[in-house]
Amino acid sequence: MQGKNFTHEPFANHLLLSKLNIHSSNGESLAPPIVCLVIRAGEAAAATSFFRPVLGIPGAVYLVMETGIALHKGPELLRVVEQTTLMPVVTAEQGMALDANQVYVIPHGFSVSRAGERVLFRAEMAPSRGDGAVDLLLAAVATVAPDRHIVLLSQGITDQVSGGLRIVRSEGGFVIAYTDDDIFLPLRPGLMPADLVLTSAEMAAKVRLLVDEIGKNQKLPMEGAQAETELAQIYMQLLRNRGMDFARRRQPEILRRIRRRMMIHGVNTLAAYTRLLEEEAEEIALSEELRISLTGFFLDATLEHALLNEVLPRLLENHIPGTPLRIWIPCCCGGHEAYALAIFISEYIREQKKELTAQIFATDVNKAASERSRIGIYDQTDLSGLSTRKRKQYFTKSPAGYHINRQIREMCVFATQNLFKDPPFSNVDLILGFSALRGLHAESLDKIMRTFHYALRPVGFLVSDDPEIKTGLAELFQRIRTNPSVFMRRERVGSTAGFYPMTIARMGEREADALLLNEYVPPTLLVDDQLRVVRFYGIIEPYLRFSQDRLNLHLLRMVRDELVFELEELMERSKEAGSTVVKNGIHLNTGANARDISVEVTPLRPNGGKWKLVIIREITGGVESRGTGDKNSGRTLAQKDERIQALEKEVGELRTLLAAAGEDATRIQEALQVANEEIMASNEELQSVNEQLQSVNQQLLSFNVELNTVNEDLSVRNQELEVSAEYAQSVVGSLRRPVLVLQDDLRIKLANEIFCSFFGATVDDTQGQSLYTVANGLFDRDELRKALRQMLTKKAVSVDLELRVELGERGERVLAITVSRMPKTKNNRPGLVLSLEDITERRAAERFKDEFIGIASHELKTPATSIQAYSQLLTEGLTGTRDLHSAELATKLSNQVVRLTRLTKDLLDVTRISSGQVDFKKEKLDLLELINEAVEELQVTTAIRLVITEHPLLPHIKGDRERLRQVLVNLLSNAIKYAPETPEIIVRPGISEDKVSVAIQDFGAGISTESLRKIFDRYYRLEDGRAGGYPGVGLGLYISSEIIRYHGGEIKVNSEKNKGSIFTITLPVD
Amino acid sequence: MKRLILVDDDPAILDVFELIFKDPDYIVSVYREPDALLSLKAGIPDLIFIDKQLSGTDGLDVCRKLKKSSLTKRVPIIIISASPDIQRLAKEAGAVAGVEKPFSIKYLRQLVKDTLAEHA
Repeated sequence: MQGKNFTHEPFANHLLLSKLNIHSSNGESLAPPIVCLVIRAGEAAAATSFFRPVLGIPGAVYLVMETGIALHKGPELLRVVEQTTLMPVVTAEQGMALDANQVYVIPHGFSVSRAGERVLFRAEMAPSRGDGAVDLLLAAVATVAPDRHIVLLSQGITDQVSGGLRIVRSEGGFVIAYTDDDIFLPLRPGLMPADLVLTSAEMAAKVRLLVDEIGKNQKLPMEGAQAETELAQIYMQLLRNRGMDFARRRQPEILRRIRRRMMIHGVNTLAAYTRLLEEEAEEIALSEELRISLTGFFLDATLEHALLNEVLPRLLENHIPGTPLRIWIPCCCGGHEAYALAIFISEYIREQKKELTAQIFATDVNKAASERSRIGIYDQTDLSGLSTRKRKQYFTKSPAGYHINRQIREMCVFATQNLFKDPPFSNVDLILGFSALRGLHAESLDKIMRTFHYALRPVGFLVSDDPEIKTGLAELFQRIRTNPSVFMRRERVGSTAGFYPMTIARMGEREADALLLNEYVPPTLLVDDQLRVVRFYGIIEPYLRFSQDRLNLHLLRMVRDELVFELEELMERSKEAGSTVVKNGIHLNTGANARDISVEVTPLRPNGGKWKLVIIREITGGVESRGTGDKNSGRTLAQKDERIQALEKEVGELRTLLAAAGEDATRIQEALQVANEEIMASNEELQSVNEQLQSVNQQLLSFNVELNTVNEDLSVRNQELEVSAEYAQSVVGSLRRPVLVLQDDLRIKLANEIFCSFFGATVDDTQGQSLYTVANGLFDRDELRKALRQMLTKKAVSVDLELRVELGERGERVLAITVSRMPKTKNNRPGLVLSLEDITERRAAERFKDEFIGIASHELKTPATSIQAYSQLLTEGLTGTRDLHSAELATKLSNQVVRLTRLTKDLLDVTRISSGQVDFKKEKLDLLELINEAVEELQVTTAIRLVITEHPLLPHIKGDRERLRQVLVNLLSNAIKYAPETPEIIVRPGISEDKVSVAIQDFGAGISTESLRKIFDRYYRLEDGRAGGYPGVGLGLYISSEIIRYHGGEIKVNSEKNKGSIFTITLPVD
Repeated sequence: MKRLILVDDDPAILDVFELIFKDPDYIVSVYREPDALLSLKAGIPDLIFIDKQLSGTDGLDVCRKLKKSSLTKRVPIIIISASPDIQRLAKEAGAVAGVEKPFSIKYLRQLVKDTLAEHA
């Protein structure tokens, strides 16, 4: 042991891992995947050798079990497995928890169950049931670890455990069968009991991948637009090629199934899987898988059709009045099919108006499945596909889910049954063999078909939805249609004795076993402590009778009437004695089968004698031979015979009486039990109704509370609204100018008091009136209509305009109107706000001011002219004299006069421009000529170099020569004045498209950003640090910009502090 | 010896004119009203200056009248005004030039010299 641990260091880490438990990426604790290794009985040594690589893969729990009749010696399997793997190996015991990286050898009869987060072993039944035990364990594993288990099978044993495998696959498990053959010819794809058939090495690799993948617990990569498209493609393909419409079925289940197929193939993306689907085999496999998994409360339309047209009419034709229609659904799983059929049949019976009842026996190997079905509670998704009418009619909703109605539930009997092992039903009219017949090898199919043949009445039907199924047993069934396949039972000539083929061995050893057991073993019954028959051996048929109404495995209900009493007594005796008891000379006198038998009851040791073996031996001629040696007289003998006959008759009568009494008692007990169950069910229903009422009551209460709260909220809101409405109105009302609020249809929503008093209206008059009719149609003016249209079509954000209106006694008034848009809000339509102002006086004042300045500046010019002339004359006169002082003063005087006259001129210009009095000439001009003139004119006044850059010839423009020259002079003299430090001023004429331009650039102090914004404003003067600032009144640039504007051009300025400024004029080409 | 006449209602302008053209080449006569000119009492000069804004009348009208008279139509007339548009208005009225107030004396002397040379 020490060496083992030392040499396989890595494995120690795996052990550690198991102690740490396994967690998914999001921290959620996950049960490790469960890997079941199923080995054929007696082949442990061979099997473990090919499973050896698997038993080294970390991260999973390993269960090893044997099929077949319990031939193995427990310790032997344990020893073999221990030699195969380095993982710890233990034998499962009651209550033991399953741990990762641990191998458990499972004795027969063990199952698993979930206890919180852990999974525990549980001793379930006697250790002699062989194959059934493996089925049971596999079913239990599948149920406790759905999607997280893998089943590995020895070669050729899939059929022995097909019941368990069916549940494994329906719970999302993976089934991998071993083969030693590299060239394996698969059976029909999708119908195979195993997902994959692999060699030893392939198997290990696949298991490693699956364990990894399951351990990661990743989300399905099946969300998003791309996945949707790919899924839609898959559905389309299945619809087109296989006639199956899955698009409207339960999506999560479909995704789960596709995911399972993807994992089987080891692909991670839907796209990759879609490529795999190009193979027909995979397409069939997927569609089969989806069909099997998507059980619901509906029958296939073709099935309904077949039942209505082919099956039910014939059944009714041959029906024995007063007996129920008996239908058997083996492998019914969740009960959907059974209930759906019950609904269908009950509706059919109602339509046909027949006096008829139906009984549906739904059996499954999985006990849990049967129990679930019996409870009959389903969730919403189970019911998808069911019409609303049927949902309402046949289901009752409760907090637990949807309950199937009692009437339907009572039509169905759910039982646990292994189709291969347990006795079948008899006198059945119809068998729905969907799941039961799927995925079987020919031999198993054969076996089941024989069982079905046995179970059916002479006129009985078997239905399968597998269109390609071949019975292979033409003497048993006659096919009457396909899709779904419907078979009618054939009466067999010379039928064999075996009433159901439970032990037809497939080969060698098993065949021998079966042969011996069937042919040479005396008729034997194995019964458990409840006297239920566990197993039959030999030709038992002559000693049994069959119940007509329900499945009953009770010994005393199964055996022929004559044996009931005897067996009861023998059982009692054997219990008391604790050893084998025998009763000889039991006479059976039923027609041709009349015979004498002895019955032996032996308590079986392994179960403390609770289980018993009942062996029946036939006695041939023993009594007679004993009698021949007697020498007594014939008379005595005759008397004895008579006596015996009389006694026998008496005993027979008593026996009949007893049997009848016993049957009565049983019947009464059963009736009581049924009544009790009904009461319990009613009670439960009442309780759930009560609970529902309580919860409704609580809901109502909470609704009430909620409503109160909402109500309070609303009244608070209401108050708030009133306050804010009042507030808004008082804001509008308090404005000292007329204000109108208009709706988008230009009707007045609100007019303030000032408006009303200004236009002589009342608030009520204006309310709702059109703007164009209010105040005697004062506002019905084209310019206003145009402006409002612009506002409503959102071409303008706000509009200012002036209207001259005639207001009776007050005469003509000038109104300035500002229209602004009120945005659309949650509660308000969009609207407009008109704010009015009477600017008559202001306009008059402005006009007066302009006139005043005009006259003033005009009148100033005349004296200025004489002063200038005088000063120039004075300068002239003093020039060349010695009176330098006077000459200097005269020059200064001249300069100041020039400044004064320029100022006057500017003021006059401004007045004329702003009152629109300027007459601009429109003459053809060469801008270059003007530029040259202006530069020449100013160059003589300054030492700064004025440079005209190289330029192309400019096209002519149209404009006022004098005025444009004035602009150029203004810009150049500004540059000289404001940038005295610049070494040169660059004049750059240019042309672009249909415009000519000239840029005048200086390298002076530049203009601040703030000043740039206002530089073209009237009376704006540049300020800077120097004392007194710049001379001038701030009109030059205003006048220039106005002149350029009148010419349809543009004037712009760019400036950077301490780098200089560029003024650019652009004018349109003529 | 050229004879110049100026009609202006502002005495300071009249005075300044006399001073500007106080030259042996010129004889300057100044009038406050245009009557003397129109009635030819003042005779026919070589050059006439008329202020546009005369009291009671428009200098341009005076100019037009003079230009209609066969006796004075060849005499060059220069209009003086405070209006910046005087150049155009003067030419429309038939004057040789319009001079905007204020003006530089150098410019005025040159204008007179040039005009007289042209109409010699």
